[in-house]
Amino acid sequence: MTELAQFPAEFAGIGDLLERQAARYRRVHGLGQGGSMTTELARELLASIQCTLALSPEAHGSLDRRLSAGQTVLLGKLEAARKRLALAAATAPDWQSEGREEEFSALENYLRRYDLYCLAHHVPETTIYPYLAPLPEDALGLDQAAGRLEMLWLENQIFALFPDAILEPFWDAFCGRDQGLTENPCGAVLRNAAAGAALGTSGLLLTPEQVESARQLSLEALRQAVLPLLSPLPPNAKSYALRAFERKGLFLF
Amino acid sequence: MENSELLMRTTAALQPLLAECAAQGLRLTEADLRELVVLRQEALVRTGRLEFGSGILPSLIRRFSRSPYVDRENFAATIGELQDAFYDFKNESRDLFPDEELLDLMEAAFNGPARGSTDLLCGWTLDRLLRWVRDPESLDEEDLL
Repeated sequence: MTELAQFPAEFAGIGDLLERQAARYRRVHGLGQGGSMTTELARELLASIQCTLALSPEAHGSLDRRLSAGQTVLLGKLEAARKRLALAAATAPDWQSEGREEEFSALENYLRRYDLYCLAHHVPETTIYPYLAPLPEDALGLDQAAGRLEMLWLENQIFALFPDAILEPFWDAFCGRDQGLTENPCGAVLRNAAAGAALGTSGLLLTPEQVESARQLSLEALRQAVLPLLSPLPPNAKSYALRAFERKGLFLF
Repeated sequence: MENSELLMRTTAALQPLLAECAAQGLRLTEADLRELVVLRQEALVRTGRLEFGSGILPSLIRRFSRSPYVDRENFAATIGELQDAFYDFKNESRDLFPDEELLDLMEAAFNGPARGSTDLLCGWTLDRLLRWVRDPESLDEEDLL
C-alpha cells in the first residue's frame, strides 16, 4: 500500500500503530478481532493518524506520544464544538426553515458520530444551507463544524431581536414558499426589516408595492436603515448581519 | 520495507512451524513456506486487504495439520487454498467475524461435509456455511458435488 511509503523514515513503527488503531476501530465498531484489515480501512486509519499528528504540539518524541498529544487537542476541539451545538440548539427560534433544520441535523450527527481516535480526518456533510458569510475553509472537520455552528448561533441572536408576534407570520410565509430550503431566513428577515425601517413601516411582511419601493433603495440605504435595529448585538453578530447587504437580493412577500 | 525483505522476514518468523509439522509427519519445506508467503501476498492484494506480521498462516497451519483429511504430501497446497478462502470469507463477513471464529467454521466444514476437499469448501459462500452450522441437514447434493 503506497500510503505507508509516504510516512517519513522517522515514523518507523507506523505499521504497529496502524495495527493498534485497527484493533481499536474493530472494538468500537463491533467488528471481529483479526490480524488483517481492508486496504480501505487502512487508508482511513492512516489519514486519521496523519491528521492527528499534524495537530500535535510535540515536535519530537515517540509516535504514540505525539498521537496522544494530537488527540488531546482534538478532544478539546470536540468539546468546544459540542458546546456551540448546545448553544445553537438552546437559542434557536421555535420556527426553523427546512434548510436550517437540515444543516443543524447534519452538524449534530457529525458531532455525535465523530471518532477522534480512528477517523479524526472526517469532515461534516455539506448541506445547501446558504450562510450569509463564506464557509470556514479549515481543513479540520471539527473546526468547520464549529465555524458553521457559530454562524447558526449568530443568526439566532439576530432572530432574537424580533418579537415572536413579528417573526411568526414571516416564518409562515417564508417557509410556505419553498424558500425554506434555499434561502437564508436570517438574511431575508434582515432585508425585510431594513426595507420596513427605510419605508417607515412595521413588521416583516411587505406588500407588493413596498417590495417595489424597497427595490429602488440602494444597499447602503438599507444598511443604514437597519443599523439602529442591530445596535443591541455583539460585534461579531452585527458584522455577520451586515453581510446580508453585500449583494442585492430579492425582496419577498 | 521492500517486498523481498518482507518475504524473508515473514518466512523466517514462520520457521518454527517446519519442525512442528515434521513432528506430525507433514511435509512442509522452507521453499513451501516461501511459496505460502508469496501466495498470501497475492491473496491480500486480490482481496484488497492488508496484514502485518505473519498473519493467519501460523493458525491455519497449526489447525489444519490436525485434520484427519489433510494430504500429508500436499499439505502446503492445501494451506495455500485455505488461506485464499480465509481472506475471501473475511471480506464476505465484512470483518464481523473474528479470525478464530472463522477458522473454527472452516475447520468444522473441512473436517465435516467437505471431507477434506478444499474445492468444496472454497466453493461455498460464507452464508452457505453459516446455514449449514444452523442446520447440518441443509446441504444438498449440489453443495456436495
